[in-house]
Amino acid sequence: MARNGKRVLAWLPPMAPSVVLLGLFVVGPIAWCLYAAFTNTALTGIAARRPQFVGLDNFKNLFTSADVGASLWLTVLFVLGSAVVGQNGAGMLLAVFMQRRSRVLRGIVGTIVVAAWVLPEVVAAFAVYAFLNTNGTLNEVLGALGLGGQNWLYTAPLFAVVLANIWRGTAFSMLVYQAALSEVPSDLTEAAEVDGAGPVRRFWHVVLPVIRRTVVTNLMLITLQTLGVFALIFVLTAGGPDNKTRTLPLLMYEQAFKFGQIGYGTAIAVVLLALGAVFSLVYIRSLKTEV
Amino acid sequence: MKRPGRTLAEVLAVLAAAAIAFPLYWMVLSALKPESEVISSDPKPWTLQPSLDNFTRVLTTQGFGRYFLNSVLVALVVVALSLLISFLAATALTRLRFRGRTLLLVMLLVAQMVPVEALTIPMFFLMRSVGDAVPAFGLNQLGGLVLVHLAFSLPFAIWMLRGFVAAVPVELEEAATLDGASRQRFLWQVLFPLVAPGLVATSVLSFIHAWNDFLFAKTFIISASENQTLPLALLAFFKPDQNDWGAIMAGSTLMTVPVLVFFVLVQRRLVSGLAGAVKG
Repeated sequence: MARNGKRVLAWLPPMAPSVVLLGLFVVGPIAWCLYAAFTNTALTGIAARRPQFVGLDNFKNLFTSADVGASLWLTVLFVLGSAVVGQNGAGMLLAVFMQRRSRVLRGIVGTIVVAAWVLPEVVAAFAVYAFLNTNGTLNEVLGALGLGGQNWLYTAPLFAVVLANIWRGTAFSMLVYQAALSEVPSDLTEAAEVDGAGPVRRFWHVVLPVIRRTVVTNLMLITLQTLGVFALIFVLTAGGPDNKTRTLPLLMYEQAFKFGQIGYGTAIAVVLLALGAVFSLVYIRSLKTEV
Repeated sequence: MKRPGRTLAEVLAVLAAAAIAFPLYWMVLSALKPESEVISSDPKPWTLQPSLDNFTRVLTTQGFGRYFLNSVLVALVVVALSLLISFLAATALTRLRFRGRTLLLVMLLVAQMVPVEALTIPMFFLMRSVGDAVPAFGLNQLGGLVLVHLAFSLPFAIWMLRGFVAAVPVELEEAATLDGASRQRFLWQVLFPLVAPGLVATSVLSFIHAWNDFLFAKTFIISASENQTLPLALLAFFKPDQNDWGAIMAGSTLMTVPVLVFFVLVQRRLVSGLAGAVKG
């Protein structure tokens, strides 16, 4: 008994701040979401003071609303396009290209890519806006080539935000893959080369299986980061035009803080959390199988 | 002999870097251009008369300095507290065996998997209640922002530091104890300096998160405009009707410099830290 008490004294003080903060700001809010999503809580008025339990009403409204369906679909497209394919693919390519290159090249390319990554989302959005809008740089270049320009943020808004997110986020995947590639034993790839495998087959059949765990972990991290992207889209398009870039975080924010429908907004947050959980489960399962 | 494949890879890498660098270049360029050139319908990719007018305009008007200081304050306090708290937690989780340890580890992993933006609504009400009890940590207060960022920086920081603490041999602690060092002394004078690379890497990530945050500042700082942070102040420049691009880009450049400096200083250590964390 005394020994147990001594043990608690050893671990509790150093853990306490973390446990309190995580309990208060992560576990608590998740639990609150799961409760409030079943109420008609509002930002102001009677429903703000005495919220009523409304059962599944929020979710019924949610799944019959064309808005939410469209938003969910947009979010999935945004995540697949900008994170799973875009950042992941571009990061891997850059890491492979820079493998065993001169220090100078790696230093310069690496620094530039990383500079885009540390850029605050708001600043990144401004930079991309300046690049894609009607008087933007892309149209100047197209004009110089004799091609007609257009307001890309209006004609291809989803493409614009996907591009912006790839531009901004590729560095993380690149850094992760650079580290992973440097740990692939070189005798493996050399043996495959001796056996006559070209660079693509060497990568696919030798390198990729070795770094598979890193790929899956990276995919999980960037997927979850991308699910929550708010500022980039908010500043670039504010969810428009015609709601064509209104992903779940923007819809949630609009419902909760613009229209004051806290219960309904929270139900959207629960859908967002569930989407994150589904992606995570898929990734975790793929790690467990075919080991 | 150099094979064509290698050269192609190098060219592609350089092209990609150039494409990524271009908007950054354009940002700094627009910030340095005199006003007449920024609004010109035929913008040139260079300027012959660089001027700091845009910067002085940003720095002297609209309380930019105040917002800048707010952002610096929040980010630095978050980094300092996050370092201390995550170091203690990582050490306890690595060096001590206790009931509930596995549960805490699972909690940390799950916390990393939550898109924190989804928690904005409950956080808003939480901050409001906290503010009723302790005004300095409630809505409209920088203290509230600090708490939120601190909490969300912890899971990754603890996770990352665990690897660094585990890499320090246990024998070292035994030796220190034999030499008569107390546990506290070992913790702060031996272990803390030894995991410095990990501490540096985690502090960069917490700094970037706190410095770049937009959503929480927008949601929690509603009426106290004197406590607004930089991202929101920048957005105040960004008005569709009167696009003052010179000022927007000068402000953006000013906001980017601190993160970039912080990052370049510690880049190498961050990479090794990240690699360990993602492999873990």
